Amino acid sequence: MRRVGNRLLRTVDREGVRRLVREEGAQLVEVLSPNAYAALHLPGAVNIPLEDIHEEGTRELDRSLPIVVYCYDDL
Amino acid sequence: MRLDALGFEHVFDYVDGKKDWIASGLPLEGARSGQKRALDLARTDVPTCHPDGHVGPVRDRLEPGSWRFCVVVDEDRVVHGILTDEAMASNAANIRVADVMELGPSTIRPRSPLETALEHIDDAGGDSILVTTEFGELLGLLYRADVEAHVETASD
Repeated sequence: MRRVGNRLLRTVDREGVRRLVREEGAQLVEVLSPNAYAALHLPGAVNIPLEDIHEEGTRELDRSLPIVVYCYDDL
Repeated sequence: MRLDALGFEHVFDYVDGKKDWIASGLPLEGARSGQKRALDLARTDVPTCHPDGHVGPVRDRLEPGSWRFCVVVDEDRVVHGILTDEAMASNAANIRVADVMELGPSTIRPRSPLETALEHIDDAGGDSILVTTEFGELLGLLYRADVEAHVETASD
């Protein structure tokens, strides 16, 4: 867990990401720009830039499944 | 993270991010994912031995002339050095690997472009270079000849 503002975020490492995808069908979300995403992204990841994280921008995500968000390194 | 504010309950932050994934050599997607990188051409069957092992068993295990060195790694496959064929030939069987290995071999990351890999091989003065993660874990051995053969094939 790590604190961002007044919220606690659950953190995960690389092996944790692989396990969440493999065992729980986690959805990967890259929050970088479309250009960065188009060049390289984790397999199966969708691109939702930070500015598009709102009701409309996230409507394709399945709320019943885990979501793993990532940037280039520390968000 | 605003996802939790939008009512998403199971949200995780992959703190180390894409940079970490790239450095690990795991598969990627995207326009640049098809470009061959260092790990794509690296030999993954490079022989290894433990620093606490002894020269004799390592020498006996390797076929003469097959490999010119053995990579010294610990239980986590972190590279400590290399045991050259000269060291194997000139030391007694009961000498510890750690005492005669060469320290600090040159390494490159798995996603290094092939042009960069050739530069590093030149800088190291040899014909190959170890491919490791950013934590020093051995992934393979990249030969100059394999890179040059790939470039020649790709240009046909």
